[in-house]
Amino acid sequence: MRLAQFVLLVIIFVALWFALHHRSRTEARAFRRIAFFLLLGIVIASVLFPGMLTRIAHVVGIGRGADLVIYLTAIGLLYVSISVYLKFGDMDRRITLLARQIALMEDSGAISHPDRTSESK
Amino acid sequence: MSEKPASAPLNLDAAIVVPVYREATVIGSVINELKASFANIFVVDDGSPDGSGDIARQHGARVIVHPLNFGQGAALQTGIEAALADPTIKYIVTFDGDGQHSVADSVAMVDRLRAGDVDVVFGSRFLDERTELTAAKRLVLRAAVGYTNMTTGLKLTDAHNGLRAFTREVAQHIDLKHDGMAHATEIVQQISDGNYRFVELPVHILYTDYSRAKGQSLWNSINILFDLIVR
Repeated sequence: MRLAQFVLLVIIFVALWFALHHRSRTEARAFRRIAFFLLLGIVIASVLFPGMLTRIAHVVGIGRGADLVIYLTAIGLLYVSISVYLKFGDMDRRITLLARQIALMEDSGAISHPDRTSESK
Repeated sequence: MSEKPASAPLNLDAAIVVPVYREATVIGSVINELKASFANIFVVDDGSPDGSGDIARQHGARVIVHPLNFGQGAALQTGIEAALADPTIKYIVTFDGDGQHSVADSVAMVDRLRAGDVDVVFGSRFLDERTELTAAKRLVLRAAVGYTNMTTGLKLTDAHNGLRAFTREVAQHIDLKHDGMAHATEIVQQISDGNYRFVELPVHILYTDYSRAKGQSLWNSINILFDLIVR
């Protein structure tokens, strides 16, 4: 196995692990911010020193800097899609609980639904 | 059902929970049949745009309305919580709103719970030969049974059968988090975790053209499996 393959696999599993397990809001948010500034730094550095990415790519055994960027982008996308999926799941859950409370309160007469009160007249 | 004498026992200690989404054409007759044997019918209208909830209310059911459509699991949980709010309810039966379940089977389930030797009664369409299934549906259901048994550790002959009955105590421990159809496996999991005593009773699922058209696509089994694994 080439060094790049090993490094990429490690990054993939770390990203997966963070996406799936680090769901404590504070930690996840801190992780995302660190990743964001890291990325920002790399982007700026690669603009200032165009040869840098290619040299890093060579170190891990990838031919071109552009290829390294593609691989890392794919991993980033994977992380983002999993996080967004889980985030939407959490939101769905919260909306369901909210709607259930409304439905049960309406049923017990604690609140009244405008459509239904006019209908019962 | 119309043969039943007017003095038929109304199972006052039991609640029927009927999740309903877009069943306007059949929900009236489903409620009429249930009324002959059950006094407490809790319909959860899961945000139907076709007035299913109003029809159920006109036929005498107690109707709880979800302001939006969430899925059968969410509707069941709402219905269970509404039934639990009535302290006279000792047994809860879940019953599909499309008319594919039999009222007589539900009565038998509540009778079995009343005997006191079990906490949960699952309906199974595979314990006798009454229910007719297509080969594809049979295959998918068998796979679902296999998956449910493997992950929950229970040995059931049917999974994803919407007709089941349980005691108040079991109901208090059920907390369905899967809003969609994956709740059927989730409910078995929670019953397994609670170490409740359960039994399966043979039930007859009546597949009509209506219920077949309305029923879920077999493709949904892929979505259910994904939900169960990822969430």
